[in-house]
Parts: sequence; C-alpha cells; structure tokens
Amino acid sequence: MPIDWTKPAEVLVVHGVQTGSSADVDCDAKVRRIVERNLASSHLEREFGVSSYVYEDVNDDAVRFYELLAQAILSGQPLAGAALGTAIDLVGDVVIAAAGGSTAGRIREGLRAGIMAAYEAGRQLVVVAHSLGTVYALDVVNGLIGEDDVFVGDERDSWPVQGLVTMGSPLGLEIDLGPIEIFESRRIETLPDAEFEVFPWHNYFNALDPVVSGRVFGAPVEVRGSRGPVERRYGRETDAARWLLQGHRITSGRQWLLAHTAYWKNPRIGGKIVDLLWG
Amino acid sequence: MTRRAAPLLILISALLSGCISAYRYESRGVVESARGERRGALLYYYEDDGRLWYGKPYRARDSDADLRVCGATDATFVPTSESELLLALKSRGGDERVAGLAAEGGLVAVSPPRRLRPGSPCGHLLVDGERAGIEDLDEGMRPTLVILCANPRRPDRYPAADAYVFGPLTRARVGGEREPVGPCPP
Repeated sequence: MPIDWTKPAEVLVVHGVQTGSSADVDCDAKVRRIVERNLASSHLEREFGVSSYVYEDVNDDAVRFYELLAQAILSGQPLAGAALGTAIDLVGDVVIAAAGGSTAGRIREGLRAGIMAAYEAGRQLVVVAHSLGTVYALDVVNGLIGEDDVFVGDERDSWPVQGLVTMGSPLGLEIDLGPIEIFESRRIETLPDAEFEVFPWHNYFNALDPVVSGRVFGAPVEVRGSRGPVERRYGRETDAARWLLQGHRITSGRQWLLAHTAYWKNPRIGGKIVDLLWG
Repeated sequence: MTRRAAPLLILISALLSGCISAYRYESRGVVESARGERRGALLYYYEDDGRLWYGKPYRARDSDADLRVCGATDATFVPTSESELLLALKSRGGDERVAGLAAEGGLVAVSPPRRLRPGSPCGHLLVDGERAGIEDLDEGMRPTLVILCANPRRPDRYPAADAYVFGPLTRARVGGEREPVGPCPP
C-alpha cells in the first residue's frame, strides 16, 4: 500500500510518562497547535490530522517509576534507598527486559498497530515522541525498518513512517547499576535497499533537562555544537545504518523538570514537523 | 506521598525556572525563489540567560537558527536546460544529495546522500564578510544568508542560490508566547 501524497498527512504523538489516566493525555492538542501556528503564520494551508498513542492505562509500572524517582529526590537521597532501587527494577522491567507479553511489549505492539493503520490508509506519517515515549518510538520504528518488505529504502512511498522527531529523550543515558543497564543501547537497523535515501531522525534536547542529562539536580549536560547524549551514543551507528540523526540543542527559559516539559510549546519543533511533511 | 509530591515538584521547578529568562533573536529579510518570486523571510533562534538554581551564571543558545519563508512549501519540479549541471539538493529529511539532470528532464542521483552538518556548504551566515555561527551573532548585527544549493525540485520552497542581507538582529525577552511573528510582511 503506497503512500498517497494527496491525502491529509498524519502526526502520531507518543507521550512520556504523565500523571493521571489516558483521558488526561493532551499532547496531540499541543502538537496540533504548534503545527497550525507555524502554517498560519507562514500563510499556508495544509490538511493534517494529529493523533496520540495513549498507553497511560497500560503503563502503570512506568508511572510508578517516575513517582518513586520523585520520592527519592524529595527524600534528599536521590542516589540511594529503597525507592530508587525499586524504580530501577521497574524501569528495567518496562523499558529493557520486557518482551512480547510484558507491559513494554504490549505498548510497542499497540504503537506499531497505530503506525500501520495510518499506512494502510495511505497517509504519510511523522512520529513525534517525548521522554520515555522516545524509547518506544525508536524501538517500533527501528523494528519496522528491520522487518522484511516494509521499508524499501529508495521508495519513500513505501515508508510507513516518513520521519521521527524526539524531544527530551533519555536514550542517550548510559547508566549501569550492577548487571542492569538502564536504557541499554539499541542496535540500529539498516534502512534496506537504500542507495540514495536516509531515514530522518531529528532529536531536540535541552541541556538542562534532567531526563536528557541524567543529572538529578539539573546541572547542564555537555553539548558540542548540536551533539548531545543521544547523538554521541547513536551518531556513528545511525550514519552507518543510513539514518539521518540530527541533534538540535534548544533552550526554553526553563530548568530542571520544567525544561523537560517545555518542548511541547517550542515553535521550532512545529516548523520541523511542517518541513518533514510538506517541505 | 507521591500524589502530593508531583505538585510540589512542579512548584519547586517553577520557582527555580525564575532564575533564567528566555530571549528570542530575530532577523528579517527578503529572499528570492528560483522562479524569481520575492518572499519575506525570518531567521530566528532562542537563548537562555540567567543563573542556574544554585547560582552559577548560565547562558546558552539554540544550536541552530531556523529560516522560515513566507508562503513556501510547495514542491514543483521544473527541469532546466542545464543538463551538465550537478545540483546539490536539500531534501525534506535535511540531507543533501547530489544529482544531475537527465536528457529527458528527470533527476539522476549521482552519489549517496550526505548529512548536512553545521557549516556544510548549503547555507552560511556571514557577518561583516566572515563566516559566523550562532554564538558569533549579537544584537544589531546584520547577518548575510548565503545559499549555495540550487533546488530545482522545489523552486518556490528554498531561496535561490544567492546572498541575502537581513535586517538587524533584535533580541526580545520571551514571555508566555514563544511563537515568533511569521515570516510574511504585515
């Protein structure tokens, strides 16, 4: 089923961990707003839809992880104690070790189904992910690229996903705690049959975002040009696999946890989505 | 405990963020498309300036500036007669590909795409005739945008290869609204 470029485009948003239930997740409205404002201020009219892949109700364990992390911070003992230990167990369960039948596996299956539904409708799709959602998004897009006969590299209208936009991602964190590697490095699948195409991945990060830096108290992470932790970790491998990983260090006038939630209002991210869809 | 912790964290974070202000740098100009259409354009990026919550001075800028061009995204392929010309094309994904024009007018890729790295030769900013990065720019400067890549596939999307002198950079503190006024003239 090739993409029909005349159909309205689609943006699929994968949120990070939030408090509340699925009904409380409004990140699709935030993304719609920054895209609409970008189009309107440039005097452009384009048809598009924004949907949110909601897994909050599936993801109680992941929520519990962040609650425990918050508890650890507030206790004044962020690097020790039972709360953080339990949190690490949970993130290991949710993000790393979980296979098909686990919570993380169910989340990935649901996200893949959402992507393929847009593809089967013939709509071009960009995936936008935030925080822990970037881990699921990368896993699913990477998995699709690795599947037989899904992505045909030089035929863009065969691609179920036209581009990946991540923001506030913990994918660059390399944290070992004994035998457990938090956010272990993914093996990036090579875009098949691609002589002239590359798969675009734009990663937006704020140096003061503790989820990006892994620094609980918000000290800025080292950035060289546009290369932050994700680019340092995956840059070489994505180059070899025919992905275009481009980092974008952004600022927001916010620090610590508010730096982590400020991406949703950044007009530059809206502009990038517009560029990926219609540029 | 954890239900009460979330709002407390947000409150603490809000107080801490008061130590840093956001500023937007903007410079306006006019660019010309390959079709000869003149369009309003806007260069902009953001900066954090202030102190971290533990008192250390902090200043950081976005790693790159965005260029927005008024009313421009449509892609129309217009073959030219310059069949021997090699064209560097900026694709929608942000990579750069080098192509030639076939006799019948189609594009023929002649090499694998390359990543457009900061400072790669598709576009430069100059100040006073010297190459400038975001960190080199300051309020009042008039950056020149030099476009070195032709793009016949999207003649109204990107500026034609040329040098465009933009207006003086302005720096304004950003309040609740982060969106710049668009690239189109009022």
